Amino acid sequence: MSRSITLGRYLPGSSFLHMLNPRFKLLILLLFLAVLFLLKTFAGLGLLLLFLLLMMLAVRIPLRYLAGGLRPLTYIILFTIIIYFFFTKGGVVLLRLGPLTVEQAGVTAGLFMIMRLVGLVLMTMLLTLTTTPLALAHGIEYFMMPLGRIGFPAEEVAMVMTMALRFIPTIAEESQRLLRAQMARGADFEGGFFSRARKFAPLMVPLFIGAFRRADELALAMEARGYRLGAVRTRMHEEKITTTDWAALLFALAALAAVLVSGI
Amino acid sequence: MPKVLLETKKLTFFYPGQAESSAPALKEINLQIEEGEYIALIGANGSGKTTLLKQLNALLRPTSGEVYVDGISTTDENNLPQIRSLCGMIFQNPDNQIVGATVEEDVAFGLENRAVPPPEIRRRVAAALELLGISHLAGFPPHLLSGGEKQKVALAGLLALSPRCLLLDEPTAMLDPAGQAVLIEAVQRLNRERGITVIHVTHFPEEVVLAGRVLLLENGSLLKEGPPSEILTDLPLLHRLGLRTTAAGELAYLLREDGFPLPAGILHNRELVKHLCLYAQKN
Repeated sequence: MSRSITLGRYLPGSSFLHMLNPRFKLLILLLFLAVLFLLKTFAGLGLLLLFLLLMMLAVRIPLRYLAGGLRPLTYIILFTIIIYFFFTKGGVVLLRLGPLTVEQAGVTAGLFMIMRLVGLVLMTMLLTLTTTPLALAHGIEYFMMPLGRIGFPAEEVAMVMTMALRFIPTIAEESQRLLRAQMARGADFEGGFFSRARKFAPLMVPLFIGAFRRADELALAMEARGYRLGAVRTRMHEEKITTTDWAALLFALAALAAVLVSGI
Repeated sequence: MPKVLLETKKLTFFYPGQAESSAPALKEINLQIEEGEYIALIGANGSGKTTLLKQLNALLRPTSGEVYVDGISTTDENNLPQIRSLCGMIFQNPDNQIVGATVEEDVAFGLENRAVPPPEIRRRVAAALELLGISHLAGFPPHLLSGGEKQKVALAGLLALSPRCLLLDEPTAMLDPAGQAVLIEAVQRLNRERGITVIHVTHFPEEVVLAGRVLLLENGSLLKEGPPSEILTDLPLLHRLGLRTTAAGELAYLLREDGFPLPAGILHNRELVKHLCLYAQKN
């Protein structure tokens, strides 16, 4: 059970994307996000999607992951289609349903929007499937560091993120244990969404109490091992910056520049 | 002559918020523990075992009296990092003391807190894992480990800091027998081969007999101290406190009560069997 819980569904591997420094990956993601939203033509967007798909193949992400990544978007895509198709007007009337019409401008804008959404999903998948949650947390921590100067507790927030990641499987295990304990005493967790939500409430109380007690003990253990707020710490694993990192960043910058200049 | 590593002088402690009129959690405890000793700390629930243990690495500090670790007083807050490097502590619940997302990162935690340079951290983490024979677990996330393995990881985290003293707070209470044996064996080896002082809080008489000296607490006071052969054979006292001795010790006591001419001080199964065989041969 606990084996199946992985946040962000990291897929172990040894491709160049797996090896990139997480800080660089985050920066590159930001640059490509900008590219995604600056692209104005179908040709440009199609090119980007093609590139992203090729990347997925290059780092050996099975295509079924793509389906899995898009499934939560089903409703958003449907909603986008309805809104754009029926409410954006202009151009040739393509379809007439009583008082409603679907016009060319609406279809174009809708398809464009959906392509953007798919691009967004592809990019985040490329990031989270090739980066461990921990490395991602370290990357985010790095960009929070400058905030430390204005009193933002960057180190502590990073520690909280790391610990949260560390304890997700433990707490998940505990909730499974509680669930089984209550089922053993005749509790019934079946039923529709709302009745199930109500039945889960009694599970939350022991789970939270357990988590608080755990936090107490953990704080003590951390203190015993010399953790002190505000003290200078080092890291076992230094994140190395290689030429590949710089090359990838330069490539992303070049892509952004190309889009800005060409205006596609 | 071995040197005194841990010392308490009239150590009295009230928990914060505890009324001064009520009984203190620890009352006027005077202790001297020499470097390299193996101490078992026993007593009923609520007798102050864990509280005393926490005093020895300054997680708690005396209300009055003094605690010295290697001659350093725990009263001064500036000494805390140094004291905690000297005395590492392992807690009962293996799940709630592992901080790192992987085994090696957890073992590194204490070193990272002390701002040790990264190459040095990697070297010492590898050495600590090697010493306990768990190098193969280095990249594992903690939730895939057994209880015994988790406690070994916790122990490795302490060893990486080269402590002079290990404080163990019922580390085997939540482990299966195999895990218990493996952990205790590791601790004994560290005590024997590296001269690391061990203070072991435990409810298991089978672990108490391994100690060189036993401290018996009752209601926050040090009631009695002595070798296991002395403390664990005082059954009237142990039973009054709700404690017990080893299975062989309990059995020998009952047999003696029933008139079997067995010598006092039997604690091990082997000993009991030997004496019973001798008795059987004579008759």
